[in-house]
Amino acid sequence: MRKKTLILSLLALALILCVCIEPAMAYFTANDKADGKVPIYFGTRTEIEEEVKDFVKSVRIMNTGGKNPQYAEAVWVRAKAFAGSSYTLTFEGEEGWSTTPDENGWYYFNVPVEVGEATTVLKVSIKGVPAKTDEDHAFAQFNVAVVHETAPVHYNEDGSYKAADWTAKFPDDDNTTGGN
Amino acid sequence: MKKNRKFLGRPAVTAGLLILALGLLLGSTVGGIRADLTLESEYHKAQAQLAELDIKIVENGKEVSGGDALLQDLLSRAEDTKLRVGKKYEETLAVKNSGDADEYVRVTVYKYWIDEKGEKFPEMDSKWIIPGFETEGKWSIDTASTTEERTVLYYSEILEAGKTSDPFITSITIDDDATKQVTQTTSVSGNVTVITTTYDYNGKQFCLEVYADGVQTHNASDAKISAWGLDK
Repeated sequence: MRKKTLILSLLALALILCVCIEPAMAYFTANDKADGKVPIYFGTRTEIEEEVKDFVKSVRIMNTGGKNPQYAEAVWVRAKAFAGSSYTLTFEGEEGWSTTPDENGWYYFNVPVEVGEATTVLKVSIKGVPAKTDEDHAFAQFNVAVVHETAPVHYNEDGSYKAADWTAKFPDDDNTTGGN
Repeated sequence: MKKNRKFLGRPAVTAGLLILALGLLLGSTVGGIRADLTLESEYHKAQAQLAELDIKIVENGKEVSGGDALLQDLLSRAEDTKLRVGKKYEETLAVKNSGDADEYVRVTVYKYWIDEKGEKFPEMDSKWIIPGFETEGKWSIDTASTTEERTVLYYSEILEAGKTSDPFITSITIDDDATKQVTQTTSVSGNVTVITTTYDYNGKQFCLEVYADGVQTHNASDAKISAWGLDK
């Protein structure tokens, strides 16, 4: 009798479950999925090119692109020079360079320098050098250091260049390369 | 009483009654058979077909599906060789009802960063990936289900069979902040000191995943609750 009761109970339970399954299977659905990815690349390498003649150092900054130029980016460039306090430096830039420095002595190149390209020439002249001193000796003795900085080029929504942001602070904030 | 018993006990009477019973039985059967013959009708054939529910993701007017199906021509359409941070790239995503039954649709969009090995890179903020969601028209964002990485959108109208929805995304932009994490190293070569700034996220990839779901319009309320847990 107990066995019969058990079998009847199991049958009743199975019947209930079958009734419950039907509502879950009653609705039709459809689905699809797609995905994709795009890499981002930052950074580049810039190098300074110098030529000295008649107490004038002509400087160009080149965007070489580094190891992977196809992934390198355009940069904004600024430059300045240092010399001993007894001597005066004057600057004259070709097209694209600002004509006056900012309060920190930086001269700005107003056009982004694309990979594989360079700025126009910025001439740094040293004044007050004694007449008998030769050029190389003068520059070596006075240790005229030319430094430049770059900032990444960002874009507006329409793809035009966004103005350079020279105020962004990096951990040590000295993104410079220097030369005599 | 004895006479009746005697009468009914006679073999002839018993045989007669038996023959009568058999006769009645056969007679009723014949009548039934005749009724079957008269009720038989001509052969009719009926056919029924269930409507098929289907949905497809449409990118820039083309149906796409599966891995690495999206964003393949994002840069080439803009004539760029590498992605320009801050620039708004055109990218139109919609869904199409490719079945033969009307349906309600929704999409779930995931955005995140991965490293060069293809593994998720949580150090980069997914909010730097900015899809241009179109929510002024028929698409609306379910804010209760939406997180920083996931956005769920529902289409407010029934999408008829064969029709394509309005776009739910029309652009993608990468924020400038993705470039601000850097590492600096210093080296000296002769009289030259070189300080190199390395962008920590250089070479990383942003990912977009889109899931499209459709549900039947009949008993839509129950269907939505069952399939989507949506009680509206």
